[in-house]
Amino acid sequence: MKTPTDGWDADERDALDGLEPVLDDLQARHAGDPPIELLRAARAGVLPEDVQRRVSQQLDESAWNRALVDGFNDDPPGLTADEQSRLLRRIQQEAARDARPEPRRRLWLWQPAFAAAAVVVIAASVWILRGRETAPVSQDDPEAQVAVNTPEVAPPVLPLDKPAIKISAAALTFRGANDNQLLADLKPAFDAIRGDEYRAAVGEFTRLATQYPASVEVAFYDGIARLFLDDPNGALASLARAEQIGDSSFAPDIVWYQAVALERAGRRDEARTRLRALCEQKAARSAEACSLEPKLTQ
Amino acid sequence: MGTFEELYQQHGQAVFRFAMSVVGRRETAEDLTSEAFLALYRNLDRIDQTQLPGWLLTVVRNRARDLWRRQVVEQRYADSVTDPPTVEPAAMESWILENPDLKPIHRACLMLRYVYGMTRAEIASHTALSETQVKGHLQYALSLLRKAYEGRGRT
Repeated sequence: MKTPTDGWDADERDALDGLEPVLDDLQARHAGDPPIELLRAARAGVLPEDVQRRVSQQLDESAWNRALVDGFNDDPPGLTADEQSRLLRRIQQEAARDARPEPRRRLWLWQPAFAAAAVVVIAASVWILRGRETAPVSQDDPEAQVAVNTPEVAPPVLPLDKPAIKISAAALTFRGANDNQLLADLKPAFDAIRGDEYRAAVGEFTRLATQYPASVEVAFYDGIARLFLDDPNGALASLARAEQIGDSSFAPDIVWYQAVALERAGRRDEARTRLRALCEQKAARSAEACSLEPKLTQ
Repeated sequence: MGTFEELYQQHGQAVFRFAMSVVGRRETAEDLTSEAFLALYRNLDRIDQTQLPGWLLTVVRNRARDLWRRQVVEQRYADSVTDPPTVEPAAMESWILENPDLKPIHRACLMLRYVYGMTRAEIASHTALSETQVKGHLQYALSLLRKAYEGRGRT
């Protein structure tokens, strides 16, 4: 069994005693997993296209990898009041430098910060490519290290609005040990959605996903909450699960929100395909899909 | 119309949390947050403030994309990513994924420590938790694991 370099403490030795073969098996199963940095970047949709596609596919297919990312994104830490003030001062100082006629100065000032970020990326590559020959990373162009894109100011074409909370027939007729436990368990998550507490909603739905894997409500509204958290790739993974459940009463809504998520993930061609499919149906969003599809140009 | 400082107070936390969820490192998340607000500062007169914080999050995402794009190792990632295991998951994998008493953060700490072999310090750096907090999460998860496997036998 792989032992961390800081070793096991007494509590761990006691708890893991006899479980070595099970852990060996688990470690072997996940030896080829992408590192957490890569999974997070894929969830945010910031990887180069070909890598993004493969790692996103891995996230779609691996509940294990999704759970890993969800664990960290469940409640990301914020800034303390001191840190927030310090960061504001830093931004204001930088903005003040901007106002001076020293156009290259700012680029050099940012180099250490981005070099540090590059180290994170390189560390991730070393982690996954351990034992392989690695190519040198080009860091000889300080201006490239701080290349600044023009922000995408144009708002998305497809509006993101909150759908009404609805319950499938399967959920209404769900019977567990304590009558309809599913509806009771969904309530906190739905309350969070209604109150625009999307992070709390994702936390609830993540918890419910393992308990109710066949609930279209869990997968669909998790996707909606992630869209409102500006996590289109996470939303797409959840909506794909909702689609697989195959509840016809949710089908048109799933297609609509997939289109919304695809546009926000920069996959406009695929968004248009979804809209065309919806346009050909007689569903609540069909007319809107027909009118907006031509506007989704690359 | 809010002033720059008002907008920073209003959206700073959300932008930083988003950056943390993207990069997982506090220093890099601060850099990305700074970049986003600098971009806002420069464009304050031109942007529609009703688009905030989405506009800021887009800047963060673009900067993170730049960071990845610049790495020449990126193509090697694509080659190195293996397909997810296709055989039935082991019992412990199912237990980790499905135990309702584990919160997502417990689950992630458990995976990183006992499956990926990370030190507590490494886990802390990925989560921006303190090592003490990581230790607490692991102790809780281990107590559940111990209970589960005492009941079922250990092999």
